[in-house]
Amino acid sequence: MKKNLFKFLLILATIGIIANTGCKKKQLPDDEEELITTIKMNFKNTATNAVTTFTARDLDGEGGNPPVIDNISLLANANYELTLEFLNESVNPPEDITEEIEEEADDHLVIFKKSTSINISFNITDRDSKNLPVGLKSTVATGAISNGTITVLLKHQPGVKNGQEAPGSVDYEVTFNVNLTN
Amino acid sequence: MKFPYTCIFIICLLCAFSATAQVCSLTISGKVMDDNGSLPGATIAIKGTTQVTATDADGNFRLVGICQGSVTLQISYIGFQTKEYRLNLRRDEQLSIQLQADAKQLGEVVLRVSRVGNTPVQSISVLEMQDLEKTRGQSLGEALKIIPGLNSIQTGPTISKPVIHGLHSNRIVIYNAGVRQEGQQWGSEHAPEIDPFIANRIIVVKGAASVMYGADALGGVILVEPEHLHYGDGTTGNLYMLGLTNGRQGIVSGNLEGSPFKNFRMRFQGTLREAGNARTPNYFLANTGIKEANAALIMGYQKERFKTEFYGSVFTSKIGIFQGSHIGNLTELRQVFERGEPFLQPGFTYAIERPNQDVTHFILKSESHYVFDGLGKLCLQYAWQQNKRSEFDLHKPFNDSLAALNKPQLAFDLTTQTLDILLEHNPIGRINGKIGVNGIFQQNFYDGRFLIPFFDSYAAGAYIIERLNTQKWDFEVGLRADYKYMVTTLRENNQIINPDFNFSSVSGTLGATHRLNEKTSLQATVARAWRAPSINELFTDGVHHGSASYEKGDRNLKEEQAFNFTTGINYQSERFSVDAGMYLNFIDDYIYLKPLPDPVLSLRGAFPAFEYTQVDARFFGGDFTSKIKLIGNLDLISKFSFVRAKNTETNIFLELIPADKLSNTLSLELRDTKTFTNTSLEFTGTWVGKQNLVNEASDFVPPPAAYALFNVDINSTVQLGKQSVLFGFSVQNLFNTRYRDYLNRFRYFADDTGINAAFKLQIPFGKSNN
Repeated sequence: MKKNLFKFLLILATIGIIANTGCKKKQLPDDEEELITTIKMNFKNTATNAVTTFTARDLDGEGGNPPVIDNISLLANANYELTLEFLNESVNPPEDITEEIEEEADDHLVIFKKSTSINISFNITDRDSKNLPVGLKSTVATGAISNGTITVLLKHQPGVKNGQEAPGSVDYEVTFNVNLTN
Repeated sequence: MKFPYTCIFIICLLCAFSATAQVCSLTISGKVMDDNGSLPGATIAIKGTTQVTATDADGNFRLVGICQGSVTLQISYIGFQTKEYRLNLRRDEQLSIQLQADAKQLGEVVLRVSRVGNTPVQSISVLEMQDLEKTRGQSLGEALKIIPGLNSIQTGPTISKPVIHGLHSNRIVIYNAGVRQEGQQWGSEHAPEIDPFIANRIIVVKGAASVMYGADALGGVILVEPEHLHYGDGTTGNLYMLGLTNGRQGIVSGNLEGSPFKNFRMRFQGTLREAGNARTPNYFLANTGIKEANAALIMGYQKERFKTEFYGSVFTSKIGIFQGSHIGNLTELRQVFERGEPFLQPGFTYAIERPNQDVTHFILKSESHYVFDGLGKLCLQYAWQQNKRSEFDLHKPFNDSLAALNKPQLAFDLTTQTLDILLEHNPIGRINGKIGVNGIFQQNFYDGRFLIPFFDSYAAGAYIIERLNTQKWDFEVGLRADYKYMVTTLRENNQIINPDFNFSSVSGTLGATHRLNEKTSLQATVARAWRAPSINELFTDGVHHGSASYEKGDRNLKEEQAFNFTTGINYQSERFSVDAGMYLNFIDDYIYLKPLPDPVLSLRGAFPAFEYTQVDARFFGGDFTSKIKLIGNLDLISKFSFVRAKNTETNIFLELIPADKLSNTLSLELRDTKTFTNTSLEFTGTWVGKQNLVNEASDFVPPPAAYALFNVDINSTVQLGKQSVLFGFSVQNLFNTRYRDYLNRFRYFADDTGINAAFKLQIPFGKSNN
């Protein structure tokens, strides 16, 4: 019986040793998360070559402060070339994600939606390897003076892209107020 | 992957420990009493053996080294007739034996024996081996649904979390082989990391049980118990093979037990499981496969009053998450719901793509006990467990160099060490009980995206639980004190900060069982339990893409406190039995996600916002089971359960509460023949109501309609020469009914799974001495 009692105490001691050495230390990981903080809309007037840029920016990601979104102001009855830029400005220097989207053009599609009140139309000019639209480059035609909104959607459609909005899921979605003036 | 396991099996077989001399290891202890109190000098013998003992001055006795199986106790006392009591011994038993002189006949004696269990005087459901055989092939969460009052929160066909009386996740505690399972249970899509094949018996304690099982047990406790080691027996084992049509699932599981030398015993257990895309009645669900490989090893040494056992297990799984469940924002969620079925409807595949989860859980446990003469049984248990969880988002990083690493976007690493010291003291008068202390040390790390911080957590508890057994009454009183300290590490505004937290509480339980007569017993308990806020409730801050919602934690949350009242009645006669229970659970400072008035805006679109907040809540409900013998061996088993849960401050219903459920089973037992034994046929219809009692502001779409499902189940043991084989055939969702369940988070996106036929085979092998 004494022998068994000894064994019991031995087990207790072993456990104590294991428990004391079981503590680990690790470094907190860097905030390496990939974030798109900024969407830039660069409108180039095809008549004057003047470029105006409007930005939607949310430096702290979801939650925290709400995004700051410019009001887009364009000339009525004009033609523009529109290029989109996607940036991560939470890192220094800012990272341009646009190229990465171009590389994965077969999996992505930009959709432009407008409110009924505004006289504006979009025509996507860039194409992916399957000759489907991408939407990083487009031409924009404006009509008579009017106000409204446009919504820019970046859809992620891996393996299911067919040129339509429905497949896949939404990566980014921003709504801008737009004024067409003289 | 199958090869190494086959190898291990063969190696184990080659080691082929032949049957050794019989060493039996179980203990029967207890107390003998008559009307005047404890009875010294009564003789307890085991019929057919030389094992005999007499009760001491306090009426206590202890018989050690008894073999498993059917045992007949002979209890005798001068002037009384010898009485016999038969029991099927599977584990150590503690008995309360009452000898009562018969008033009508001199010298006659009435014997009453009650088993003094290790589980509390409370509403308990037990799934024994024969029940578990029928659920083979299902996950733990699904298997438990046959118990009234239990449901599961599902994330598609592969992830199922148990719900007890409307409470789930961190409000229930699971013990896996005697170890308090510690994973990242706060996540509704984080299923318990347990191989159901490990269980020989599952006990569910319904209701608050913090005193015995520690903090968090507000809703209940699930005890997953492996088979005891059969010391002294021959080499035995079982091989299970299952095929299920839905998901074209295959499962192979086996165990092998033997002893290389006297007093020692070991068992190896392993399971492999693979399924591909699950199918609803009309389409396959993209990326819903699962791969699982689990193994466990138990080794034990037992001699006289000393026993020590080592347990080690590995659980690994890779789970595909339905691709249609990744939702960009609220607008998209509405579109998906209105479309009615997933856009993506591919064919069948076993391949698992993004999004998916990789989960590994390790357990190492050492458990020993020693029986001291004047004191009782002293138990010591230390366990180490590690939970590693990696989650891969649907979207790979845009950045090529990041994408090439193929790292999970979310990774957690939680290590838990627990130490338990417990004394089951010898009976004092008519009182049995135990005193214990318990310590938990946890460390959590993460990698990738921030969701919960690093933390170190230290918890300690001490408890005492005592039970008084009389002829007609059992009383139980328990008290526990707990303290928890947690220090966290996280980055905020580019600074590393270390918020720390102190939580403490006192839990208690008071219970009584009254046996009105041979057939009827009544039970009532009052229990107080508590739970510290879970780490995500304190710190989460971000968008949940499964529900397209933004969730925010609160670092000022306090402990939840539950007051739980349960009452039950049990009646059993030859033709009819009923078990009915009601409960009322008041939870003060119940933590829940409160919808905020304004959505959160981001470049990803608008997300409805929720914040963890505390309110007072009330859960009220009941579970009923009845069994009626219709004719011959045909039984009708009916089960019904309901829960009502409200925020009592606003009088608004709480979300994710199970709908009312009714099931009826016609069960026919066929007469044994030479070839077929234990043959049963079952036909079950289950109706689940529509959950009308919801707070519309907390959900985006209305709850789904009521539905009814039908299952058949056929089981038989077939004697093929000297070998017996257990066959099972079952069909779930027999009529391939389209339905959606309120507790399945995929109800937004897709129908639930359709017809699923299962073919099951169990081949026991080896020679048992018993």
